[in-house]
This record gives sequence, C-alpha cells and structure tokens, in this order.
Amino acid sequence: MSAPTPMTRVDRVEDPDLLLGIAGGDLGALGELYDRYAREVWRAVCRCLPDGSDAEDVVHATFLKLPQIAASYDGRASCRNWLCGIAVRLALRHRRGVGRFRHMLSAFAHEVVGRSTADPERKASGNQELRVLERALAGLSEKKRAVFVLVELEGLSIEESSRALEIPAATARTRLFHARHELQAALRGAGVG
Amino acid sequence: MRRACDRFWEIDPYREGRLGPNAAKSFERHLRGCAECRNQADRDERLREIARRLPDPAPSDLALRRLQTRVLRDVALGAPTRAIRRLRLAFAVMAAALGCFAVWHHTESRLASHAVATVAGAAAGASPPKAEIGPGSAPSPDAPAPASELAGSVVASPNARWSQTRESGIERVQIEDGAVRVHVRRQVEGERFLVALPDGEIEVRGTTFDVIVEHGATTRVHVDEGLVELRIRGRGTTRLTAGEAWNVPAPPNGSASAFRVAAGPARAPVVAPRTETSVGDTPGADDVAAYTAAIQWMQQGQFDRAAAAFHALVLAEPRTLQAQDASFLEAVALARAGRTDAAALAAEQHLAAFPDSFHRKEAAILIARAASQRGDCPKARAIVSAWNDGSPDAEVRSAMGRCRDGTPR
Repeated sequence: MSAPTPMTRVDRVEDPDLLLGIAGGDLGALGELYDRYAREVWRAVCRCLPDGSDAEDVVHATFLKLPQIAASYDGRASCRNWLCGIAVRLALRHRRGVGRFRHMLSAFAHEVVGRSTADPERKASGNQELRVLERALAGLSEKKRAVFVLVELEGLSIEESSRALEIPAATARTRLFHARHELQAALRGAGVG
Repeated sequence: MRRACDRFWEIDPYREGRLGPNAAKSFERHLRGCAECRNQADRDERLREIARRLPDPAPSDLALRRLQTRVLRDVALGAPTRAIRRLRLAFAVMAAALGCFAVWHHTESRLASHAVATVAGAAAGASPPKAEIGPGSAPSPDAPAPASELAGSVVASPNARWSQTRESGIERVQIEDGAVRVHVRRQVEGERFLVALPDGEIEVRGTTFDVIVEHGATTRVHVDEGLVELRIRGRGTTRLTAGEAWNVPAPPNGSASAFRVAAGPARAPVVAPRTETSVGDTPGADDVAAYTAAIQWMQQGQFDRAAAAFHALVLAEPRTLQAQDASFLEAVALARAGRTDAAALAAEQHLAAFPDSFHRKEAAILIARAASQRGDCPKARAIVSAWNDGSPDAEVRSAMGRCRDGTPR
C-alpha cells in the first residue's frame, strides 16, 4: 500500500462552478459555499446589525436566496464580496421598519455598553479607542454604516459596494466620506483620534 | 466640511491602486505638497487601523453548523417565501381575531349544547387558532363553572386533520395527521382527557404538549409542562414530564431517521423536522463543550486527539445531529492524521449510521480514497458511483486516483 496521505482539497471547485450547481439545485454545492463564506457573511451582517439573532436570520435568508439568484452571478473567481453585499442589503431591508430600527438602535447601544464593560481583556488594556469607535459606529445611520462596513471592514471596493447596495458609486463614496468624518470626529472628541 | 483641495477624492483610488500610472505619479507629487490630503490619508489609515481591531462578531463553529443545517433543510424542503409567510401571518391574525370573537360570543350567549361536536382541521394555508367546542351537558345558569366546558384547547398546523369531542366527562382529541399543540387545563375528578392517535393514545391530567403525526403514525410528542402518558401500540407505555420528548425510534438501518434533508419530500412538512430522535437526545452543555474542544484540537493539528474526542461524542449521544457531525469529523480527523484506512472505516460507520448525512459525499470520498490506494478499484468506484456520472468533479476524480482509468489492479 502506498504511503497514506492526509485528506486535502487538491482541486478546489471554484465559486462560479459551485454557483452553477446551486442554481441547478445541488445542495452539496450550497453546503460547500456555505462552508467557505458563512463566517464572513455573518460577520458583515453582525457589523451592520449588531443584534445577534437578527444576524442569524439574515445569513439564513442570504443562503436561502442563493438557489434563485445563483444563475445571475457574474462569474468572478470569488463570490465572497457578492455574498457579503447581498447579505448587507438583506440586512438593511430587514431593518427597514421604523419600529425595528428603533429596537435595533437600543439593542445595539445596550450591546455595545454590555460588551465594553464585560470584556475584561479589553478593559484591562484600556483600549479606549475601540470603545469609542464601536459607539460611533453604532451611532451612524444604517446607510453610512453599511458602506463603511463593506468598504473598510470587509474590503469591498466602492464600486462593489455600490453594486451590492444598489446605489450609484458617487453616493457610496459620499456616504463613506461622511461615515469616516463622523467616526474620526468621535475619536477626536474622545481624545483618541 | 468644505475642502480647499479638489484632489481630495483621489485619495481612495490612489490607495486602492485604481489610478493609472501617470495619474498615480501625479497624485504622489500632489501629496508631497498638499498637507490637507496628506493629513486626510493619515487619518483614514488610522481609522482603518482601529477598525481592524474591532472585536470579531463571527459566530462559533457550532452556531455556523446549526445554521448550515437550517439553510440546507429549508432549501431542500422549499421554505416559504417572504410573501407567503406574510400572507400566512395575515391569515393567522384574521383567524385569531375570528377565534377571539367566537369565544367571546360563546361566553356571552352561554348556549347550552348536548351535541358532540366535531371540528375539521383548518383549510389549507391558515392555522385555526383555537377550537373549543361546546359543552357536553347543559349547565344550569346558577351552577358554578361546569366541568363539561371543554378542557383542552388545540392549535394545529395548517394541514392538520383532527377533531375534538367531549361526552360524559371524557374529552377526546383525535389526530389523524399533522402537528398539533394541545393545552389541557387541570382535570377535576371524574374527567378524562385522551388524545387518540392512529397508532396509540395519550392520556393527560393537565398539561401542554405537542404531537406530530405523519403518514398514519405518531412521530413525536413533546411535553412543555405537566405529565402525559403515551401509549403507542407495540411500544408499551412512556411517561413524559415537562421538557421531555418522545420521537419515533429509527429502524436499525437508520433509513427512517427523523432528520432528513437531501431527500426532501415534495410537500411542505407540518413542522420543521427535529433533530432529536429519542428522549434526552439533545446534546447537553458538556457535549457542546466537548464538541468545541474537539474542533479546536482539529484546528490545532491534534488530529488523533480530535478523532478520539469525536468518537467519544458519538458514543455518548449517538442519535443527535451533533453526533452526525462528530462521526464524520472523526473520519476527517483520522484522514488528516494520515490514517487513511482508519478514516475509511470511520466514514463507513458514519454512512451506516447516517445514510442521509450531509457529509455522505465527503464520507464516500474518504472511503474511495482508501480503496483506490490499496488497489480496490471496484469498491472505490462503487462508493462514489452516485457522483461519478460521466463528469465527476475534482474531488471525486482525486479520490479515485489510480482507479480512474478503469484499470483495476
């Protein structure tokens, strides 16, 4: 018998092929794509909607939608940014109701305060700037936060973000500019900027 | 917020490398001379640097696995769209309003009725909120609250078929199909409350519980509060207290596992399938911690240790969804430890225990890999035959190895 070899993915199936499979109803392909990107999609959604339970619902909705929209994928090698964009857009829709929005703001404020005081590591390190940034991020409007999260935290380009959010690139650029400005002002105001 | 410099908007394109060579050189020269753009670029970079250190809100591996289960199950079963969910909600609200009105009207009029009433399940698409049928004996206007008032209230799934009757102090809910939630007030002396099932019955004294009947057989009973006595033909009597569940046991070959995804039925399920298959099979906190630890050992490269931990988990809770994952991950850990044959054996055990597993293709690949390495090409081909139809994917091709060209040794 030849020497045993560890199981490794020698030939990785590319994202466009997986999406073709998903469009054709292949659950295995959906599971594979989920394994690749669910964590990053979840993170992007969480940063837009810091309500944990809602984030799970949005990620669920994102992957549930894939069989219907997979055929429209443009064939880029990685669909990570495409998925994050869909998820963030769904997150914004999810929060469109005024009542939900208010609830989200209060929940997020609570979450931020709770996290800040409950994390001994960060408390010990006295990392004031992170707390300030978290609060300021929570205080941004949904639209500005969505662009900031996609561009600065998830690494999408302005063009990708604008496509994902279905807004003109100039609008995305303006929202990003204002988001940065508000966050920088908050950091400066707290003496950590 | 007015900017004196009109090249301010080039900062991002420059940083992202989207400017052409000449434009980039031009902007570099501009940056050297423009304090405003330089400061803004520094501030942006500082903001990015802090933002990158924000806590990672990503979920645990276990949460991701659970969500994956939910996603695949819902895709397989064809989860309702948002519009349909809204429509159903609207129907449910209307039905609830009608139900409230009916109860109010019933209370107001206090009509006596000797009839034994039978209520069919709701029309498709709308769940009847509650069905309380008239009393079985005429109460005296001066009498205290009669014991003949219906003791149980029933909430059923949209396509459920059930009826509720009361006669001579014996109330009977008959469930033919579907998911039904029953709340029974505390019984007074002389009263009995029975739930008749196609294959048995449940006797209760005051409780809240769920029952699922599919294809003429009871598949699940879960008790929220109180105590029920479940009698299924051929299975004796089972007493269930609050928090306990009874699920139809899987046959020895596991083919009737209560948890199915890949071979989703054409019709919508009466309720979401549950992962438990018998009383007490929900993983406890210790098992969740052990699972997390095993995953961490995998990530740290301690594959033998991880394999042993996954194996222990399977032995401890053999019929949970977590055990399904654990038994597959045991095979993966063994494979990564270089123990190909042991991995194949574990994969075979996984497929035997969970024939509908999400991981059946990956498990088959592990088996095929081991078989092809030892030259057992017929076995390698047979185990991946379902995914080897003319144009097998890269993983299957890789697993087949030397057996791909059809020349078994």
